[in-house]
Amino acid sequence: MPEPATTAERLPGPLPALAGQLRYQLLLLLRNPNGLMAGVVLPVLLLVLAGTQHARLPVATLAGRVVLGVTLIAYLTHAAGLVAAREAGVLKRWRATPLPRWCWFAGRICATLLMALASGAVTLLAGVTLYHARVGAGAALSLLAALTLGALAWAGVGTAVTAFIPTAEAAQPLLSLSYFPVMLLSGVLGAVAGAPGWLTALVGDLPGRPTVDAVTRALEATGGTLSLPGRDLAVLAAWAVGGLLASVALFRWEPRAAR
Amino acid sequence: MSAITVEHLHKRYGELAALSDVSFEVAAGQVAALLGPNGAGKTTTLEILEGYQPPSDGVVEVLGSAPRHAGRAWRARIGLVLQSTSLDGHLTVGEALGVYAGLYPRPRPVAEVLELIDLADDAGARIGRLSGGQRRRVDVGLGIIGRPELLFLDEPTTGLDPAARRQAWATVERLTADGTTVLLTTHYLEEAQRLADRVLVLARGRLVADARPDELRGRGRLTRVRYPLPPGAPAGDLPAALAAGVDPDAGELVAHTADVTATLAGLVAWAGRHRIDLAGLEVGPPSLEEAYLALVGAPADAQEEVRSHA
Repeated sequence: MPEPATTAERLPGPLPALAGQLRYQLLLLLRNPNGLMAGVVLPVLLLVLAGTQHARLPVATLAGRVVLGVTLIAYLTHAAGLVAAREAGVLKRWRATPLPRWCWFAGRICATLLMALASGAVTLLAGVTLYHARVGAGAALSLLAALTLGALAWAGVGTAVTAFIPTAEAAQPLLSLSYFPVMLLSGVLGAVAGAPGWLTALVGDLPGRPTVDAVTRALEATGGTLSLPGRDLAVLAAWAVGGLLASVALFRWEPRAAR
Repeated sequence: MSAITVEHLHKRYGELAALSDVSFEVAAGQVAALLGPNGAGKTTTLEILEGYQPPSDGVVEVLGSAPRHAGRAWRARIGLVLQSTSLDGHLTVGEALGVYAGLYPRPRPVAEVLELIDLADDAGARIGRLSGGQRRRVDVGLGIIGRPELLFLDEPTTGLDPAARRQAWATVERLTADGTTVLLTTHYLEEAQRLADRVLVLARGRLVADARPDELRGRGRLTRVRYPLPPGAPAGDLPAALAAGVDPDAGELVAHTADVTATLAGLVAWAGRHRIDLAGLEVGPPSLEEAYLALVGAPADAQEEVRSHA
């Protein structure tokens, strides 16, 4: 029998393991053409369509397109990828390795966050260069905070929702059904007029509207300091923490009909 | 020293008993094959040993630990190849092996594993573009990259063509030469005969045999008589017991008999009458496949009769 590893041959520490996971998950996301199409091409395309209707692109329009790309990657691409990996048995294999489970989750969510922020940057750059969108001089810090919190909220919820998706085939329709109505009502493609008060209030407590509002406020920021609506940040933080806690409790590493 | 100890293992899913009172040991460095028809409990046994499922009752120890509660250090000592392929198709073969190598304290070099699974020329190929057989070999590569002391192989060669299967066997043989303990499930009796020191046969959730392959073959109560019939031989004139065993397509007769003397006497008399040479006549124990089929068709209470620890 091969000799067991000695104390000099310890298991890799958490940081190298996390770095390896991050690199691996980023590779997977970068090579997923569906994710890139949804998170980068679609928001820019919709930005171009909106740009034809305005002499100067309104900040709220740019904010909506940025949030669309970020949340598509943080929710749809992220959750659909998890379901596909689970149904293909990839997660089952990971579970049998010495990698700590938290490390796998952290790597996956960090990679999703980085891809989502990159998508937001591409859309923002397109808005500024193509349509001379006005972005406040001090927007960077507030924008980074709003997009990070928004992406974490959607990624947390997306991870938890995978527990209720039975198959890889069901992932796209179920995720789309739970995503697009919320985002459209949240004004990601423009304000929705005539919605009943109760619906407006409900949407304000879901993670879509607070992300759009926080990003809009961030784009208007001028002071260079953090300037974001406190309520929106609180709602997003609650969804991020709640989603991650629900994920820890509900997440499945194996297909439901494993036997 | 035992790598695996299983005592009175039971596994129930509601009313269904998937495993009933299964006990066996696998010594360190041994290669054991777990055989049985579909639904016999092979994968359930493997998943309990791998820590995926808890036993309903009984004692299970793998490398000195209860798998369900074992930690990272224990998982670094085992390798596994799951029943179905479980790979990220967007990665290249080399990238996948590199990612997994980074998880273990003393991994095999990626180049060495590529050689072992005969994919050195495909290291830069995306896994999703490989053939089914090649992907199965990547699965094996990921299973052995951590230099495991104990390797679980769940039907590792199912779906492979005969050449790829022989290649996979050669890989396992190279690993076992290093002293790696292997527990494999398979539907191929030839595979068990070639690779395994021990054969464990499950039927309807019970262990019905635990023996060396040659010992299992020798357990058949009947002796096998095989004779390749020469062209034009008057098979219709054979004694009735032998005529029933004639396969005209294969051009041979195969008979299983409890009275070897009488059977051979009948055959020799027939050959003498027709002046036929009995060249190629074989007399011996049944094949492993025949012994296996006799076992899995046997009633469950035959367990005690046939069990004998190797």
